[in-house]
Amino acid sequence: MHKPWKLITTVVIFLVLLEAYLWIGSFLTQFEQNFSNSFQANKKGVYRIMCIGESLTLVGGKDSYPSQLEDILNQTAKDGRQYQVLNQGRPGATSTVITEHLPFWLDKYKPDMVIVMMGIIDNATFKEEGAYQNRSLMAFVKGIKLVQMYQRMSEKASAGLKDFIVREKWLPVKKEKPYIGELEMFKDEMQKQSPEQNKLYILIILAEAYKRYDIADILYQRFLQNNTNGLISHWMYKKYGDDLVALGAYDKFVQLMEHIDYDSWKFAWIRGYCNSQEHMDLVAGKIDKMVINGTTSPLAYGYAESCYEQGGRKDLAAVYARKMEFNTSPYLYAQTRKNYEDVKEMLISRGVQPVFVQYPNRDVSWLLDIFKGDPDIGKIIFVDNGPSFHEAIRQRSYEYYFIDRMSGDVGHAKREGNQLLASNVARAVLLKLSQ
Amino acid sequence: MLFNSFEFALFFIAVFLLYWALPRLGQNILLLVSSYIFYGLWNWKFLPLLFLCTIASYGTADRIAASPDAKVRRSWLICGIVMNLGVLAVFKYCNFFLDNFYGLLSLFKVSVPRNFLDLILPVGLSFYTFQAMSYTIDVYRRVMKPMGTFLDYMAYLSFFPQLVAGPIGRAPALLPQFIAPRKFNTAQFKQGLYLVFWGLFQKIFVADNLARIVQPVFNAPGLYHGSDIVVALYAFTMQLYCDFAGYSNMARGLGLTLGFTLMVNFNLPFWATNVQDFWNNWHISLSSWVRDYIYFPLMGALRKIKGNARIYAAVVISFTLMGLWHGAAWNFVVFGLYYGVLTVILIIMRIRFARFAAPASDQGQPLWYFLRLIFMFNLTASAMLFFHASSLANAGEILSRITASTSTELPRWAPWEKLLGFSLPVILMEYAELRTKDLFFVLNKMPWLTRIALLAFLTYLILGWGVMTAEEFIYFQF
Repeated sequence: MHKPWKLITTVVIFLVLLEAYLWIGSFLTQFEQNFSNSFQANKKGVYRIMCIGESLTLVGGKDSYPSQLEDILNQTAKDGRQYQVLNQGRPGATSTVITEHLPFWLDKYKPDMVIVMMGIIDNATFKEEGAYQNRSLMAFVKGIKLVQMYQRMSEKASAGLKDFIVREKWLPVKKEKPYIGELEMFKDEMQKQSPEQNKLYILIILAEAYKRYDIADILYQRFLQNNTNGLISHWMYKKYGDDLVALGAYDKFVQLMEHIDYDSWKFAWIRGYCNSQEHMDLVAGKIDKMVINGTTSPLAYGYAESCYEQGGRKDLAAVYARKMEFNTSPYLYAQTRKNYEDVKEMLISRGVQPVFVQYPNRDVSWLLDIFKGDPDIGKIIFVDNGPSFHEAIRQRSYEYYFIDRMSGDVGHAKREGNQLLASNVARAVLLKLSQ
Repeated sequence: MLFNSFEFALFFIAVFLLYWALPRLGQNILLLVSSYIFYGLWNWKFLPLLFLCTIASYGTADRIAASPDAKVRRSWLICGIVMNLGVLAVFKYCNFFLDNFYGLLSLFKVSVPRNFLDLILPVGLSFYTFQAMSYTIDVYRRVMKPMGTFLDYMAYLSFFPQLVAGPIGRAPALLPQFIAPRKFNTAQFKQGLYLVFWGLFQKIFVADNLARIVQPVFNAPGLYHGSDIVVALYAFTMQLYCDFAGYSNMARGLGLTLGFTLMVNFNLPFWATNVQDFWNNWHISLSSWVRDYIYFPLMGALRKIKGNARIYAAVVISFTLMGLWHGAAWNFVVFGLYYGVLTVILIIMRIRFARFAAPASDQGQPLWYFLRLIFMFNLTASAMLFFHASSLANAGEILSRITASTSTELPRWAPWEKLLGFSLPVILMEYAELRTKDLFFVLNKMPWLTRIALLAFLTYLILGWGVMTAEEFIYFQF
């Protein structure tokens, strides 16, 4: 054969075979799952629970959370019932895909309870999904596993490259004019303030401009004592924190930290540690703790990043840049919310007990938020995996419980993580069933 | 930049394309610049250190060759070695010795303030200082004459495929390749690509997946059954091998695509049937270094000792020092000592029980061979106990867990199926290599369609089951 033709043939055959392996692989996984689920679903007289979700539900075999849940339920339940848990996790499935499959699964397995943990695959491109459904060629192309894989990997690669460029400081950093942003931000708010407060504000700016932080300290105290506008207070605490750091008054920091619950204040506190150099290593721990305990927003990671960047700790700066990127991306889209509602409708109308599980390490409040005001809310079991995981991670480490950080704050769990998850679910389920 | 990262792929493609468009001198300048960038991206502050080692070895070798006087030659040799070892001593061993020194003082109830150097270990230091020293010593021993310009030598010592984790190059074999012009060779290029691919497979599919069995167990051995710990230890043995052999294969493969032949670093070590055979095939660039520059001189220095005791002493000291090369900690000393003692036992056995010591092969006595392999693998896994442990106390804790009576409350885990599943492709591929006696059997011995099917399958395993988060290589810490 002619050389270029041989090369092209080789590449084509290679790709076709690779695609075939991917299909066979996913078919075998699916087949194994369907086989064992169908086999189990024939059993009579058991309380059948079906877990739906994506790879976070599926992965792990006997280490997966549904498998461990079954063990825990059968060991600890005192009602004499036998429990059977089916793992219906679909790797890479968005909440839409799961919602669409649900009626079929309900007919087939006839569960008494369905445990839902979905939405982590949903992302910004997720909205386009519907648009492709009617175009057959596009649907075909999107159905090719290699194309899906390419998309996922190119997304990852460009994120990684961006990371790398930021880490190596290959892009110039913009410098902003001092106070301009502040003045813009408060031009309306300041009109609502008393003239006294505004005067103080001007004096503070003046003191800061001349770097007389000792004077600013006194002025801030008076300003904050009488301030009623939350937005302005928020901002001023942050600046006050900066000034105290500049002054080296770390003790004052810590004192006020005890009483005040503003994020901004804590940011300032972090900066204080950061700027004092000797405390720099504590920053990461403090921030992780604060974010994980939910007392501050993940934006704090940004402070940790800039802190380490200035301190020349590029490796750590990169870590926190990633954390920030992941944690601040919204993980609840309109479509996700709608899917949750559809699932609930479907389950309640068929008399199946719905259980909604928040992902480990995340705040359960957004799940509750979906069903706020819903007349059915009393029928739903919610499982909170926030505080228990925060505490567990604080005591050991994230890596102890999880394999990866697929979604930044959470990823595929190891046996240990799934064990904790399963026991949280079991507790909630048993509590409800005993009522 | 890790070999298994996306940014390295871009970096290498750029270097590769530019490289083959340049003449020889330009190629060497490009290699030098890209190697220094590669190293500088870890930590640019250590670039002067790399340069210092380069100049110390090149300069002293040059002086040695220029002088016919044995005394002058000797003093330049010492100068070269002291400079390279000095860098290693300060950055790698100083705090270890200080710590032990303070410990010793406190035994005698002498209290001094415990001060330590605030240093981090520069990546790859142990590898390039050893490579640099071997050049000076080879010139001193008249194994080779100094060759090439300083630029060639700088490119040689900093060559990025092997800079941070070996194989530790030897000047007589590798330096001439930097001086001679290089021609693009399709066959060599294919072999290079294959090695990079196979190395990636070993790293991403095997090593990083096995790490998930290993880490939880070693992080908290108290929570696991003895059988879980045994699985984790076996898994770590395979993980370490695939991590390091994978890196070495990638290094060799990258070298080949640029027209360089680097030393084979691992040659089917798990198919060896005795300790000596194992070390002849495991981390060859280090074991041969130790043999040539530590063991042989030791044999000379110990000539006053009569009989076999001389060999035993030289073997034990060489292995212990080699253990210490891996890291400044007592568990590595024990690791080296363990192999030293095993080798001595082998030598004694060879005299008394020849049948048990002689290498076996799978031809003729397959069962005997198989039993020997299992036995050797267990010996290796036992050594890994000291290799993986963070300290001797930690190793002791893990060891006691293996034998401790297991409480029934703990869930049994023992993921044998994962260990076997992830190791199986490597075992099968290596068996094929063993039978064909050809590292490139996939390229040379397989029918075209079978080869594509196999490569596509391995690619599937990487894409479908591999760990895609660019995990660090274990050997970077040495």
